[in-house]
Amino acid sequence: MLKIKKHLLIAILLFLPFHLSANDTNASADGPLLFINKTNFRFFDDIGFYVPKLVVKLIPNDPSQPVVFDEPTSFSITPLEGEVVLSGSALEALLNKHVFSFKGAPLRALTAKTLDKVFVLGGQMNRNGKWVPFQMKGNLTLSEGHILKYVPWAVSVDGEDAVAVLKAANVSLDELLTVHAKGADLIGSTIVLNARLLFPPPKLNLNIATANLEERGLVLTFNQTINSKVPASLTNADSSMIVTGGKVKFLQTMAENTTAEFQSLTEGKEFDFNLYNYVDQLVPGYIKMGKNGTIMAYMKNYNEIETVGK
Amino acid sequence: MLKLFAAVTFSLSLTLVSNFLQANEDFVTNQQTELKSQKNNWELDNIPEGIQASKPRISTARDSGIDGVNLYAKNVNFDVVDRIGFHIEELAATLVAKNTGEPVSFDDVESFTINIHHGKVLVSPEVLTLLFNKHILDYSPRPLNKLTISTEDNYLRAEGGLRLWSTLPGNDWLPAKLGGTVSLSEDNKIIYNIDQVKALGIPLAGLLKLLHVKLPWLLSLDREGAQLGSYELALDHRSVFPPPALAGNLSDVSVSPAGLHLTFSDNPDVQFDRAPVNKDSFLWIQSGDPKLYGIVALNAQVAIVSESVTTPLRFNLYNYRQQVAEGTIRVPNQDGTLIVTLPADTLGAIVPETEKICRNRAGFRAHCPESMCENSSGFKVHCDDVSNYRPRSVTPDPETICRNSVGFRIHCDDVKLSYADDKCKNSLGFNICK
Repeated sequence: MLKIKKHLLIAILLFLPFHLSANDTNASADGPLLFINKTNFRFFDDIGFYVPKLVVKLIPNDPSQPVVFDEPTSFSITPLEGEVVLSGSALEALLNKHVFSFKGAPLRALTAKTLDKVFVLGGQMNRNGKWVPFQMKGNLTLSEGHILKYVPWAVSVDGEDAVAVLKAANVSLDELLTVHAKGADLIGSTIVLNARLLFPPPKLNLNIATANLEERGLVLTFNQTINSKVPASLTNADSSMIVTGGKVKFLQTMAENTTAEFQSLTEGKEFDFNLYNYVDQLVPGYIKMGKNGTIMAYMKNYNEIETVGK
Repeated sequence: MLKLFAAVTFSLSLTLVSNFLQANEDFVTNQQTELKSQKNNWELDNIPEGIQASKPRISTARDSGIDGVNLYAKNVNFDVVDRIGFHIEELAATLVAKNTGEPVSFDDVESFTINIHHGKVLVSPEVLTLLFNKHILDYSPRPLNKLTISTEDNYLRAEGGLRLWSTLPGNDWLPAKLGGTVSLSEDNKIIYNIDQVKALGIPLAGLLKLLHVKLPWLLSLDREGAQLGSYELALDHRSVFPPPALAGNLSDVSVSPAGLHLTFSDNPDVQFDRAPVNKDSFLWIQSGDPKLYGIVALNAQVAIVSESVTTPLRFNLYNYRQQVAEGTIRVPNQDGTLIVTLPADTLGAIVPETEKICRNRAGFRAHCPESMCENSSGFKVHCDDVSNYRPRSVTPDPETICRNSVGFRIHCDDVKLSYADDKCKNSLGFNICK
């Protein structure tokens, strides 16, 4: 029985039987490196992370092919070093706009809030046609570098405390329920979730060093040593994404062993990137090129786009 | 309450389990559907009408499968290198990589050819001057030096230095003038029919013809694409210009005060789509895989324009990196079209290099490096600034002193021209080394 730390929550993650060798952390023929600094990295809409600082490796499914940004299913992302923050609002977006976004979903209006070592999940559940409010509080633990377990220690339904009843009956959840499916298991009273099913493509190959709940969000860190030198910004940008090496394709343009930096069109604003809608950001922006072939893309922040893609 | 809690947790768990995939699949499906639509657009056959293209290879993420880059240019000053190039009135061409299947690399100008389907270009007198001085005559020893080309209706003049047999007389160039008409030969070369030759102001053309002295007996020209005939100079447009090589036959050639007009019409049926720019001066890549830097644009749709609204685009192939670095690239829409805006042409008309006014002891104009001129106070100055200059006495390395048969110094390199095995004989076989 794994010791449950005081962390929490709900959603999350995953695990991936993914093992890196030392060589995998180099920008080489098997994929470029992406250096992200102070950037809001969205997969789609509000689903994503805020990245204070992170180095990831982009790995095409077919090693002979480039990483195609327009085809998120064609490659995977392996965070190597740094940290990401899933804010409460990002988790809400994940649940409401992706996980429970389908017609007939039994949950709606989910709220997610992170506190110091506590995750709070609220919302409404559908019981026989009636939407009933609920709220859960719990801890989150990380094990094996890729599994996050959420154990609710407080549950209220329609304002009533349900925990006392469970304890009085000495009942664990898995004695009542059988849940076994790809990426999600209910073991005892613990919900184990797989991140690969929570987040949209590209696949995340997560090897998390630490997972902490803070007021700013669920903070995941990665501590693999990278052998590549962290490139300096081409434009002295404080907030940007720099991709180096390998083969990367954007729209119909393929860059090989090139350094490309993406940043906000608005000077002084942190970069807000949306993978699924990056072209919408690029269209109102522009690209500069260095004589040595480096690419500098100035893109409109996603949160500054009023209509496109939203 | 217990049942309710169980129901809540059960609902949560089952939902998380049973609907994750469904939601993800819906999400991915939407994205993939949109991507498929985009791909169809990206993979459209954009090959211009009238081009007999081979069947495209199977496209991949790195290869559109289309051979050649189809390029249309209108009202563009297209410099190949430095200012040597053309003013393109309009031109339809296909850039063809020598290695089939490879992209056309703008950084490797010898790796592809420019196959011209149709179009009209103008080579201005200034560009002709540069073409001769910096390319055709850019070797030593050479028979002509510092030519200045001028054109008028149906006539082309060249003025510069002449050195017979590329050696005589000594270090000096005889001031010479050439004149003639331009025509097209049967083997599709540009023929400069020289009917006027003046050296030292003395008309020689008639005399040469009278004596049946042919130009190659007096002048030797050693440059690919330029061949001296009896009384004409043949220029092969396919090879006389700096790479990339041109392909395509000339249908007409003419001379006007504006310069040398070249017309191509091998395939007049080739029709490009309208370029997506509201300009009357542009380069438009409609299809194919051009490679610039380490970047390949697949099945590219790239328009290149000038930021100027008053001056035409000037594009320099050998220096495109500098130009692009100073310009801006935009992606106007989702279809992947690129609009490249280059800085306005600030070069304008070519200004001939300022000629330093220096003369040799015989009074002829001669090359005059600054180190050879001093002002009256003995300071080094530009030769143009010397009113009463006096050439500095220069003592060359004794090993480099070579003289002709009458004792004048000549370039030792000239000695090696025709008789490499005997460095002490000039092209006429005279002993000239001291």
